[in-house]
Amino acid sequence: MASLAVTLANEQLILRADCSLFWPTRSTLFVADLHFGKASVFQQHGMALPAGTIGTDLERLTAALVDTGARRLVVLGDLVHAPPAPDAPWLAELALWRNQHSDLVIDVVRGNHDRMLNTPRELGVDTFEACLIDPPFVLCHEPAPFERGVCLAGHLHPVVRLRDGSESLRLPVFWQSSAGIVLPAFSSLAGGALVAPGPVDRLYAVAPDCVVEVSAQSGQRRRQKAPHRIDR
Amino acid sequence: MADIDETQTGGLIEDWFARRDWQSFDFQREAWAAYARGESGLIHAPTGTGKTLAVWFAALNDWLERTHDLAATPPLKVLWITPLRALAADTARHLETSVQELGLNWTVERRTGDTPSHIKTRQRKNLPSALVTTPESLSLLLSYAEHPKLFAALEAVVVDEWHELLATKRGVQLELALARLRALRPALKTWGLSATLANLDEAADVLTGGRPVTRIEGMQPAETHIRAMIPATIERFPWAGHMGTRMVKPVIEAIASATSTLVFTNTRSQAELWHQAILRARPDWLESVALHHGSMDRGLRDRVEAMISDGRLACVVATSSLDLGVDFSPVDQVIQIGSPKGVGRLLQRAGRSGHRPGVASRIWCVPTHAFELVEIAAARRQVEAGRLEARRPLTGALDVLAQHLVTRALGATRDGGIKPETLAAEIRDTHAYRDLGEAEWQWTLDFITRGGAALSAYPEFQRVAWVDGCLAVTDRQIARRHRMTMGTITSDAAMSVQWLKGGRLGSVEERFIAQLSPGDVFLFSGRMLELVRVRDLTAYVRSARRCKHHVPRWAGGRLAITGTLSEAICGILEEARDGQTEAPEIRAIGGVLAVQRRWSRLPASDELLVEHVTSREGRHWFFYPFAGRLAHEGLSALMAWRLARMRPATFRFSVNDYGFELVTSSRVTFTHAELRDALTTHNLVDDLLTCLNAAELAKHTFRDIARIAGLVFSGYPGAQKSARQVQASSGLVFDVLRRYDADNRLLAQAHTEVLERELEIERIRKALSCIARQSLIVTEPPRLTPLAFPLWVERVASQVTTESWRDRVERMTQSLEKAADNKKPVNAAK
Repeated sequence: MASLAVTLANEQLILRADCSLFWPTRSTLFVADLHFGKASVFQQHGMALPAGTIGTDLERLTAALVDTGARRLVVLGDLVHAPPAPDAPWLAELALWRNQHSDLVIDVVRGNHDRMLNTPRELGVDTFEACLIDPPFVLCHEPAPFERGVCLAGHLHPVVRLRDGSESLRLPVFWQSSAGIVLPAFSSLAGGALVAPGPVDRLYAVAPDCVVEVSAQSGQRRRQKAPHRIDR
Repeated sequence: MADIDETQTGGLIEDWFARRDWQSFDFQREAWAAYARGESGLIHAPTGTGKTLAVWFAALNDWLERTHDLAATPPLKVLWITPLRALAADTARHLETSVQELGLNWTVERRTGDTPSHIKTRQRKNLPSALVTTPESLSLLLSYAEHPKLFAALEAVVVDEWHELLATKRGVQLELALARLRALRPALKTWGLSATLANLDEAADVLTGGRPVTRIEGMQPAETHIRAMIPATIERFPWAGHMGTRMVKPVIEAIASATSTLVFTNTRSQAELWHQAILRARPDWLESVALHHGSMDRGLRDRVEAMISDGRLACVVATSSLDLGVDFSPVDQVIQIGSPKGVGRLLQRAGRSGHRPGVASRIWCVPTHAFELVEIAAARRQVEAGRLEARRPLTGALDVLAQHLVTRALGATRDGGIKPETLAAEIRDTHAYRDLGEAEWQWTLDFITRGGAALSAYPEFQRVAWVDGCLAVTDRQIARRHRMTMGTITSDAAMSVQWLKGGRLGSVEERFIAQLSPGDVFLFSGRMLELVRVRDLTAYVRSARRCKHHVPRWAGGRLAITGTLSEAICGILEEARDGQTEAPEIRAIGGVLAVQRRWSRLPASDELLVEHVTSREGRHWFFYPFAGRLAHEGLSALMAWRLARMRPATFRFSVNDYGFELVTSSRVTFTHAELRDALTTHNLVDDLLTCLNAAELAKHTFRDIARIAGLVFSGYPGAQKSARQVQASSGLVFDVLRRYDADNRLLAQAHTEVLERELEIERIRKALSCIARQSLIVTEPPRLTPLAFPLWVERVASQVTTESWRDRVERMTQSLEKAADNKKPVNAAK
């Protein structure tokens, strides 16, 4: 799986084709928007979305951790889709996974979906309300310009549409702007919102087996501001 | 026909006719007699020929015969189903007037999506004597616990415009509701009113789930005159869609000569352009020319319809949005712009004029390119021969079934739910699910109770619960959401268009607005609008001064020409080749046909013409099976794939209703035998599925299926925040299902629907077996022929931007015209 190295605030960051971002200096792996339990929420509302994605997503996460040798995992918001019932089957699956990675440090910046989350103790994670400052970066859920550093964020589920004649491809992207980098959603159940990059922004599209920089123009949607519809 | 004596018609009704100096028609008396015998029936005749009165008076007459109290207001006796909300108002008014004139105390009301909620609530306690409603509103009634009581005295269901519902999922939804009503009232009479179809027997069978139906032929119009507006000069190399507006002048003259004209177009964009073109030529008509299409705001459309009925408009430019609908008696002329596409469709449109029994209906057809003149002549030939299209009912759709099962469980919950055996028997009483297999039934039950057949995949699923062996919906939120989202009509993501100062104009597809920047000008709802900003799925606009504009292109417009029509086209071309045709349209395009014949060939019906041309672009093959554009889409992909397997090459292709083009930049050639091989029916389905990236196509069809089956939820007003949590795109659901529940039968349904409806596999199969018997004629014309040119344009049009392809096409047209004048010899080889 071909990754792509970029430099941000004089730090080397690795953009990975599994939608995670690795910071070698601190041996930290970043992911955003896991939305665990999304299928459950749908099922409880009478919509038959099959479970099973959490297993796949945890396998992908394990593979990324093994591949990078990261000792710390930072979730940039939206760990869960909605607060789980204490006996939710997927919660047990998650606890089991945590047990298998007991040495791993996990920090969770709360996202809008995590607001009501009472993190169960057996998950062994530290949660942070607004943002976590880890110089030169500000780790947060919703991207914004910060005085104290550039941000690594999620929330937007950025995707880009590439076109060639009648062919069209929709791919998740890492979206780099002057404020920092927005990660694509890690969840395989996440939709996406087309990005609206500014003229100096850079986009790194995530193909199934590689990360490729694309011209910011190709993803441009002529709109005034970034759309904030993210859960579709 | 049996004679009806005075007592049977109740006297009252005969008086009613006598007071108007009217005579009841034979077919009406026939319907009254059949109804009185307790029979179900199907009356077929064009719109506006007294079908409504035939059934309505039958029902009143029957009641008059049996009631002891003429002044009584009976509970619901007649349920009147109409496909259009707009029609409901008109029908209710019509029924009510006759009740009043007869001096009866029957109540007539309607119940549609537009009915205020306090009236709906009152109706749930007590329905009027006659209720006019839509299939969706009827299903919704079945979801309430009190529905058995509401229908306890029901005598008859009348389905108006049955042909419109027949071949759709709405029709299936109605079949299911009718089966429920028959279970409640076994002696229920079902009457259908339909336009003439080729498969009337089938239409009758579907209506009653196979019970006997008395078929009654209504009044036929004296005649239908179909005439082409033949342009003074005909381009030999016309390109689709743009010759049309050059015909503005004669169209305007025609409008001026009539009292009230309906101008029908095939697409919404074409309607906008024609409306604009007419007003540009006659600015003084601003007050008397209106526009009507399905994307315009409902209130605006209602106003336009009212103005036509009142005779206040000289002309309305409309799309299929006015194919059905209220009685427009003032309309005395109909003009069709562009290909009629189907015989029945043209007749229906023609029938909007001369709306009186026995009066001939007239329609002018305006070609938008030369070959449409052939289509017009072909349509006239089929009308004269009485050869109409069939509309095939759908069967076995599990998405509609799932929705109905939830509805029924919901309606039975208060009384302890419903036994699955009862439900199974009830739904198998429909044509659509008569042959539903036990496995499909079990899967659908699992789907609504457990989420799917795969037990492990849906541990927390809840929708329909098992309560003591019965199905019930116990969760109030689920009940509420089900009622909000019922129905089978689905639409693309639409963006509301509103004035900056308030006031809604209608809706356009989100994709169109996304291509515009603020300040851009576009034509919509008959006005030039400047986009100001976009917020929350609303495009805010103001009036624009500038007139360089875009026209929204709506998805759709992919209607294929029907088999009945293309048969006649082939016949006419063959006659033209043999110099046998008299039709004025064919004489008018004699020049075009002569060039076609000189450079290549006019195919006979036992020949498949293939034209092979070499240009700077590469090698082109043009095939003309005349099977309609949908089938050609499948055929072209199939041919490209099969040919590329013989010799490595990359093909691009384009299609229209007559044929398709394959083009490659590789220097490959194919022998006669190889072309033949590629045209075989052998392995058809497998090859098609492989070459078409069937998964992608199915994903698209799955949108509708997911919404109908309740797999996705698009939210409802007032609950946006909480609804967002359960929103997912159908594409995502499709991918997840394929991975984690691959046996999900809704996925299989999506595949079937793609093959049958998007690609018309039956027509592909028929075309290929036909080709197997035809001789293959390959010609090598010196340049693009009149038949080939529109295909080339179609492909070029999808490649470059509007501005430049227009220029390019115009340049190309000129150079071809010159070549045609030079009368160079051609080397057409067999």
